[in-house]
Amino acid sequence: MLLRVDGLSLRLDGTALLDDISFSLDKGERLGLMGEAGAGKSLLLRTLLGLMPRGAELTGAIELNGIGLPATAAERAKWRGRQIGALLAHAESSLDPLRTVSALITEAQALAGRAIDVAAVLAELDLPAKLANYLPHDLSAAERRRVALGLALAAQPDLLLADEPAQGLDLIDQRRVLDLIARHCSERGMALVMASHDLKSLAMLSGRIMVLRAGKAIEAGEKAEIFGHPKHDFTRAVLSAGRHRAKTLMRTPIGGKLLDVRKVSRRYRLPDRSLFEPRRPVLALDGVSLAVRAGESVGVIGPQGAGKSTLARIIVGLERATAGELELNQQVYTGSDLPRLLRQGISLVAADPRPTFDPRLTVGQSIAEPLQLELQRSVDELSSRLVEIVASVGLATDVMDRPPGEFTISQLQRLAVARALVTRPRLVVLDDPVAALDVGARGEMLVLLNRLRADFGLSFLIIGHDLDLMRIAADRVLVMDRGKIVEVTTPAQLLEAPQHEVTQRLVAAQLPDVGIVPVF
Amino acid sequence: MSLAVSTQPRARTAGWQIGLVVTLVLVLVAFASVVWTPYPVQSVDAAAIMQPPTNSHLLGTDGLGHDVLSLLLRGMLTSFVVAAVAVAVGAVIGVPLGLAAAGWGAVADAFVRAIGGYIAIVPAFALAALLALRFGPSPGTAMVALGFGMVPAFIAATRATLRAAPRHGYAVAAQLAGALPLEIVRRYSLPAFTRAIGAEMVAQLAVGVLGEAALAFVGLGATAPATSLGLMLREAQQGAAGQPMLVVAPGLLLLVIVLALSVTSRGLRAQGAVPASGATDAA
Amino acid sequence: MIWFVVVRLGQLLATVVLTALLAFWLCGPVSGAREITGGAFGWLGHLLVGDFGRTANGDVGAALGGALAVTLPLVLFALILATAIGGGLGWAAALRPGSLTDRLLAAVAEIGAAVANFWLGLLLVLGFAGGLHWLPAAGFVPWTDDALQAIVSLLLPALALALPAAAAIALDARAALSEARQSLPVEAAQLRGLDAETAFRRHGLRLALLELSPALALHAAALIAGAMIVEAAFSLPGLGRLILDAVSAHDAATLRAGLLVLVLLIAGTVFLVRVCAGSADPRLTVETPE
Repeated sequence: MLLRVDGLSLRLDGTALLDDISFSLDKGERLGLMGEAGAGKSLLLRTLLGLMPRGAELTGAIELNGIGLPATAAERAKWRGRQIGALLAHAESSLDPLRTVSALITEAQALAGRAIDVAAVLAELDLPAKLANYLPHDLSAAERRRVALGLALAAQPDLLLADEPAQGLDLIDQRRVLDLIARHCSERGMALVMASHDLKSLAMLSGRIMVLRAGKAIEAGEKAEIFGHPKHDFTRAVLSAGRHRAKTLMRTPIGGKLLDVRKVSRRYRLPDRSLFEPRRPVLALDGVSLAVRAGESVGVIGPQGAGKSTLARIIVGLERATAGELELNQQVYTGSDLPRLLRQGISLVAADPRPTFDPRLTVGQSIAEPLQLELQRSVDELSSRLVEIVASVGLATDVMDRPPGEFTISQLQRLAVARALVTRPRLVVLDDPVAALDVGARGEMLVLLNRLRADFGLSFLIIGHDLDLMRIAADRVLVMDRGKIVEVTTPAQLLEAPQHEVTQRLVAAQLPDVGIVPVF
Repeated sequence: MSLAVSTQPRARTAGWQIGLVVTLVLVLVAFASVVWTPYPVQSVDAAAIMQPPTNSHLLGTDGLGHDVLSLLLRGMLTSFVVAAVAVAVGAVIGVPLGLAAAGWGAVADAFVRAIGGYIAIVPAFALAALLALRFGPSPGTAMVALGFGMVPAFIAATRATLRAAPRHGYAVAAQLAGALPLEIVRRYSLPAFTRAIGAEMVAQLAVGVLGEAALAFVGLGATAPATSLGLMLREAQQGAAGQPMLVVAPGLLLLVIVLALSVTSRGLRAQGAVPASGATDAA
Repeated sequence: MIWFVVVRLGQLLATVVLTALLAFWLCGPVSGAREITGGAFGWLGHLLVGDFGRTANGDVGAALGGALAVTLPLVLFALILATAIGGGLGWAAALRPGSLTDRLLAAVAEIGAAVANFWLGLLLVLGFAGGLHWLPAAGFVPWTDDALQAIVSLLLPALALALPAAAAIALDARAALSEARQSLPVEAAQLRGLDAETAFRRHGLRLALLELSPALALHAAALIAGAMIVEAAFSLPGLGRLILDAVSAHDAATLRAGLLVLVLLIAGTVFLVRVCAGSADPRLTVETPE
């Protein structure tokens, strides 16, 4: 028995953070921890490593190869020894900024008593060999996370604890990370405990699943059992919500051109390191042209750094294009010179709604803010519109008097959508609208977006890197890479016959579906 | 003065309000001394020179017969006034420079940083000596010298707040919602700005009080017949063997003032942290 | 890295030249026929060959030399004391962040940083020299006469100068070290198998010191300026006395030379701290192949 957990409970100030968790893991076994944010998955992983919050009381047993978790930090380090590797939250910030990648890998391997071979580790991580002499700040966040994973695996541990290993990565990097973990598990017989709210990653990597909710283990069992015949209501709800039973929208008649983007480029410079060490300018967008017609939904997809968010920000007028022009409602502009009153016709839904709500205002006031652009309407008309909009996103109107801090992310995102619609715009730009949401909430949001589009006759420009999102919510898909549009296609063609190399990589990186195939 | 910002949450937030109260009390007493002190500051009691604390002179008398307590109260007033004017000088020069640095592009930024860097190297002592050579030492030269020395701190505080402010997500949302640029400044930049500059002012007040005393001590600030805590210590240095109170009292008061001001400023800085917005989900 | 040193050196030179020009201009003309021809740049030229000018009392350069023989050891002594004490206190406080020791030391440091160094000097004089007669109250025994006595007469001044600075350094050190101890890289290193202390020393300590170095440079600058004041409290014939005497005697020649040397001392120290820190920072020394 590699790992045995028996009746594990963690209490802090009287609240039970973890409640009576029990499971056991043998060599080579793989356990997935499933649950929504706040369920205790990360906390459980940290507790297994001995990293509990200060002042928390631990009851129950944690045994590694028969030896219990020691009391002091120094002994715990020995107890973990070379047997447990960990990839925890914010792993991309866990690299010592003053050491080169090569030094870090060498240290990890030396600690583990393995032979030093930096090039092999980099090759296994699918990272270019030249990165060995780079410092962490010269790497992207995704590259840093892969290096962190490499460091955890360098010791070739018997057990890997991974907390959302693929979160925040684009499809291709996500696939690389999960594949690497899978390889270690299958080739070396490494045991795995992985926490994720993403059903597909769990399905790909786990043999057994344990469902957590509010610190308790609701259900546990073999993967096929849990996914196929869930017993508990909660598990069933999570699974069905995660299966994206959203159907693609029946097309509404496509009208004239609403937004025209003509050869837009955006070049900018990162702040110079010093007066004599200027950084080379970055070309975020390179001659991008596209058009959105009334009533259609255009998806923009691409790997991280392709320029998608920059394009969105220029379209809604937060940044200025350095070349090219845009046209909205017969008004030509280059970005931040979008006339203020035209903002009525276009709005933005950001990936994470939390920073966009002023904590000093109630959500009702925040949603009503864009209405200041509609000078000619009466107060009654505007307040009835507010009520209508909030109801249309599926929330009761009495929530309007509450501050943003009282809502969950999914609810806030609905409110953000309400705010985006309150001026009855014709075009809504959505930048990764479901990325911050739990898997359960994503399906609901997509259904909502489709319904709103039909009800209000909206046009969408949806940006993301999730192919599911494109499949369900877009009529046309544009693929971007390094500032250019490389392919124009439809969702169906995208999945079946991707043309460009980048598109092919994105499609290949998709994780296999879980259980029931969604209905088209 | 130390540049560390407190990392302790609870013990401090209680403490800083005490600091604020003590500061306000001291300021009130200092200004009250204009109209009343136990003894008129200039008056000498020839019969009671170099006295230890007695019933008639609560803290004793100095070598010329002045009442120490009265001197202390008036000296405290000098400390606050000189420090306040110095802070005003520093802010009036430093804040606009910081605004220019943040708003006028990279060249202006580099230029302002160079100015700030240079002033930070030149001590107020040097400027005070120069001014004293030309104009003779006085509280006025101390104010200017100390004020100049504070300019880098105000430049830094202004630049830092302005860099952070417009990035807040809700400021962006307001912009998208059609808020006019002036309104965005008023609602989002201004409150954070005034809070940060206010905290910096209190911190620099502490620096100014210490600086005024130091300059007066070496003869580059307030000179007789003006009163200053530093001046009291200067005179005590000449002959205090029989009366340690002449050394202890002014210095102790100085310590209390500076401590109260610095505790208050730390508290103000900690309060200025933006409250977390948004959802209740654990990330 | 070379660029880095060159730029900092350039800044140092610019500071010195600018100060010389300002000092010359603001001090005004030297009375009598002793003025140097050629204006500010003429004076700079003379400085470069070591001629600081003459006054009624003699050679300015010699006076400066004598003053520096007091001030330089004092400042060095105090800097070492302040860094050692402050660093040690900060280290002790940061060992267990949030503990009683930590909060106690932080409170002590906060009070200490608010103490006026010249007041502390007066108290020390009262206590040790006046009360206990252990150490000399004032004055300075020249190095050439009795080196040991010279050191002894710098002991109390150095202490008075160093203690409040140590308190300020302790507060900054505590913040930087405790943040480093609790940082993600240190935690990650522990998870890879290092024990807590080694993980901190290898992956947290250097970063903490680098974060601390700008503050240290400023503390050093403040300490040198403070030396001018503390010298007055102990009647030491150092640079401070030289400058103050020049002010009361309206001696422009000595004053401008003295101020220039003071600024050079401070700028030079800051330069040294920055270059040392820069050379220890791989982010500046490692050339990234683009």
